[in-house]
This record gives sequence, C-alpha cells and structure tokens, in this order.
Amino acid sequence: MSERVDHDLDALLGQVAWAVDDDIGRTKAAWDFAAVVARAHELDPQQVPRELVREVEAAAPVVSLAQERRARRATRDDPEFDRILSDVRASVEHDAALRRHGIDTTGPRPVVAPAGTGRRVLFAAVALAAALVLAFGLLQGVRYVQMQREAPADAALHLGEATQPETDAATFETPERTSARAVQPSPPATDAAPILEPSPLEPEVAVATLRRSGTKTKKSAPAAPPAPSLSERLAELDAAAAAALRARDLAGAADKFEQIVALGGTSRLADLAFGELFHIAHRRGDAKGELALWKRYLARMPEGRFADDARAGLCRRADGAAKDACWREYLEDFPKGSYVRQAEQHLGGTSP
Amino acid sequence: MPRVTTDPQPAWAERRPHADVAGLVQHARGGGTDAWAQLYQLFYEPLFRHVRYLSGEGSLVEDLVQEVFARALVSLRDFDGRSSFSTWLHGIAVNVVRNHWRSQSSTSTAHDRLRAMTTVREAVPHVDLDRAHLARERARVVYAILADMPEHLREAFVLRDLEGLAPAEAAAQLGISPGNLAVRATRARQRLRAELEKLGWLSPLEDVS
Repeated sequence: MSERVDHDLDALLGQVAWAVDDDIGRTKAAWDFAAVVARAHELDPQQVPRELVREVEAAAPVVSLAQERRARRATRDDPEFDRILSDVRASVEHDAALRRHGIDTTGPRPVVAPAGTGRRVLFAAVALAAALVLAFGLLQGVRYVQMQREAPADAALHLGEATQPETDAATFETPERTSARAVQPSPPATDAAPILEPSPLEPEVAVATLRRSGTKTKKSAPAAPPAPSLSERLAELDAAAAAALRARDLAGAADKFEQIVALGGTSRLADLAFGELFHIAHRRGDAKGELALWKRYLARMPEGRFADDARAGLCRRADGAAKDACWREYLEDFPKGSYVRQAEQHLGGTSP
Repeated sequence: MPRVTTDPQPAWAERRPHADVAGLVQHARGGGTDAWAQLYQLFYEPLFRHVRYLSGEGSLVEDLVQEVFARALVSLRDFDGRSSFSTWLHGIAVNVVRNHWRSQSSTSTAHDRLRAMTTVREAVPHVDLDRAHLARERARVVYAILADMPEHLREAFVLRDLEGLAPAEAAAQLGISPGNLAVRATRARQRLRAELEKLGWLSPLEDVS
C-alpha cells in the first residue's frame, strides 16, 4: 500500500511541531529530584523509605547539565521539507543559545536549498537566521581582536598561554577571596576568573573572516608557532575529563574540570564544568567542597545556568534564621525559579 | 519485537561523553540514589519533551514528568533490560500521560475547544496571523482534535508524526509492532485531515487518479 504524499498536512504538522518545540524552549522546567523521591515514597513506602526522602532533601539539588535536546527526526514522505523545517528549528535554537549562553564554536549551519517555489519563505527564514548568526560571530570576532590589543595578559590566558601562577590563581580561588573581591570596585582585568566574551567563531576563523570581508587587521609577527586555540584546549580537557569519568577517576575528572573552569571564564563550557564539579563533589560526599563550589560559582556567574540550583543548595544547607532569610532572598531573585515551591513550603512552615 | 537488547546511548546522550547510562542503571538497581539522581539529570529534558508532545499542554508537564520518574524509581526492579532504559522510561511516560488524558477526557470539553478553534479561524483569517502565532493556533487545533481521538490512534500519531520518533522506537514505547504503529498513525492522519478540512484549516486533497 503506498500512501499519498500530503504536503499540506505535513506542512501544518511541521508548524505544530515547531510550536511545541518553541514552547519547550521557552519553558524553564522546575527540577526537583527531592519531590520525585517524595512521590516515590508515597507510591511505595517500602521500596522508598522515609529516610531516603530525608537524605535526598538534605542533599544537593540535582542540576540540569543542559543536555542537547533530542533532534526531531524526519516524519513522512517529504524529506526536503523536513530538512528545511529542521534547519529553521536548528537556526532558531542556535541563535537562542548564542544569546543565552555565549560561546558556541559550531558556527552557522549549512542551509539546504529549497526544492520548490512555495518553500521560499521558509528558505528565506533559514538564510536570515544563518546571516544573523554569522553577523553575530563577525561582531564577536572584532571584539575578540580588540580585546587582544587592549588586554594582552587576559587575551594570553584566552589562548592558553597563561603562566602557571595565573592559572592557579583562577583554579584555586577561595570563595572568601572571590566574594570579598566581588564587592570591591576593582577593574575587570584583575579578576581571577577571566571573562570570555561569547565567540561563536574561533579567533583564527574570526580573523580570517575579517580578512575575507575586507576589514583591515593589524599585521602579526610571523615567527611564533601557532598555539592551540582556547576551544581546542578546552575540548582536549573535556575529552580527558570524560575519559576520567568513564574510568571512575573522579579526582582526575575534577582536576580537568577545574582546568576548564580556570581557562573558560564565564563561557558555556566553564559553566557546564562547574555543574560537573558539583556532581563530583556530591558523589564524593564532599559537603564542604559542594558549598565552596556553589559560592565560587555564584561569585563568578551569578546569572549562570546553575545559579538557581546553587542558590537553592546554599539555602538547603543553611540553618535557622539564615535559612529563612536565604529562601526569602531566593524568592526575590528567582521568582520563577525551579525551587520556588520548596522555598514557599519552607517559609510557609516557618513563617509566623 | 524489542529494538535493542543492550542499553545504548540515546542520540542526545552521545554528545555528552560523560553519560554511562548502562552503568548508572545497574547502580540504581542496586539502590544507588546517586545513580538515580544522575539518571534524572540525564533524562529529564528528553522526557520533558516527550511528555510535552504527548500531553499537548505545557502547564502540567512538570508534574507529569515527576510522576514518570517516581513510578520509574519504584519499578526499576521490574526493568528487565529487553529494551533500552530510555525506551522503558518513555513507555512509562506514555502510561502516565494516558492516565492524564483519561482523567481529563470529556467530550463536551473537547467539542468546546474545537468550537473555540473554529471561532478563531473565522474571526481571524490566517493571512493576518504572523507565522509564530499561526503555528501556535494550529498546534491548539491539532491537539483539540487529538483529544477527541481514540487513545491508541492519538499516541501512535503523536509519537510518529509529531515527536518524530523512528517507527521501531515509537512501536517499542507503545508495546506494539512497527506495522501496527504504521496502521494506527495512518488512520489518525486520515481522521485528523478530515477534521482539519471540516474546520477549514486544510483544503481537500486533489484527486490525482
């Protein structure tokens, strides 16, 4: 039995899927593993005893490591149309990711040519999105070059040429020092955590793009051999950390993630590395380490992807009046946060 | 027939080299809460998406996902490994959302929603709607029609045609054969098209015979 191709219905369903994906992308889901365990206890108190619920409630919150969302696959008999839709979706998500999280080295995605004239509007949307991404990358490339000229020490760190003491200072920053410095009006260059501007293009690519586009750049000295780019170093470290995790070498993995944190500034990879460090500390049962990490993280990335979780973690660990105050502040700072329910429950139970 | 006998990394997890699903499942089966926390961490987002597609509404997805994980937690010892952990977990989600649909099912409600959709359609010709708005309106119409559809057709259609799962994966989640899945999804498409034509969202297919 051969089914007739129904382009109109497929087009409509493509839009429905887009709308659902768009809605998912806009939703800040409330993670609450403790609530899951509490519900499991309700379902089967023998399998999930009360002690387990208490243990999980006292533990660090489980944080999102921002998985890549599962790509939607082609559905019916119109692969070209599905490819176009998928490109539109990818471009929208890519653009949103750039705006939300900063660095992304994947660059603009290839655009698939439309098969028919009726699809030109979609094609135009894809092209526009790709052009926006490219333009954003170009802009960041210019900013990167400017940053290299204006702050050579910082730029050297970006390129992985930092001296050991600089790296160590970033790696082993204590929360007290970081917090203290956070309230001082010191210039950004002295911050142990290097600020890495979002840069969807590699520095080399950015410069090459500038040259191709006719923008004049300063001539560089020809002698020095090419150093590995920051993203190459980060990718190497990430791969090494992954290998260490697979080998159950938590200390080794933590060391690599710490290096990513030290080199990555406020980049997406550093943000994710913090998340992995939270988890490793939790797996090691290192409660003090977790606290220190949350504080370090919040000092560096008060609006990072795990800020919500780190703040909630600190509140869970606080005692007495400090706990109440912590949850109140949490509600003020994260009125739509993932732990609003927990904060309200706590304050509802403790407030007069 | 179950698709796999081992527990391969799902497509999204392959990009995260740190995920060791099989090891985590084994550890979780032994009572490792930490392993469960990691599985929660790994599967929350794909499950959220899955439940969002299946349920068709955003407001209750978090609660439904929580229910899925809680049910999985208490029944992990029943997981026999014949399918992947991901398929098993997503199958639980199908059941949870099915119960949700049943608890919500009310023919009059579905008709009311469809009437509202018709009103929107008549009041605002689609040429006046921007693209995103139009897509959302269409999503509401499609889910309103699906609400009126038998659940076995609705589920096959959503997994296959909306969420875009591969036939084998969708069939495994529903516990049916890929052939059966194809039949159900096709019937659902036919019903959906007929309703969309009736409501004026699609023109009748031209006869090419």
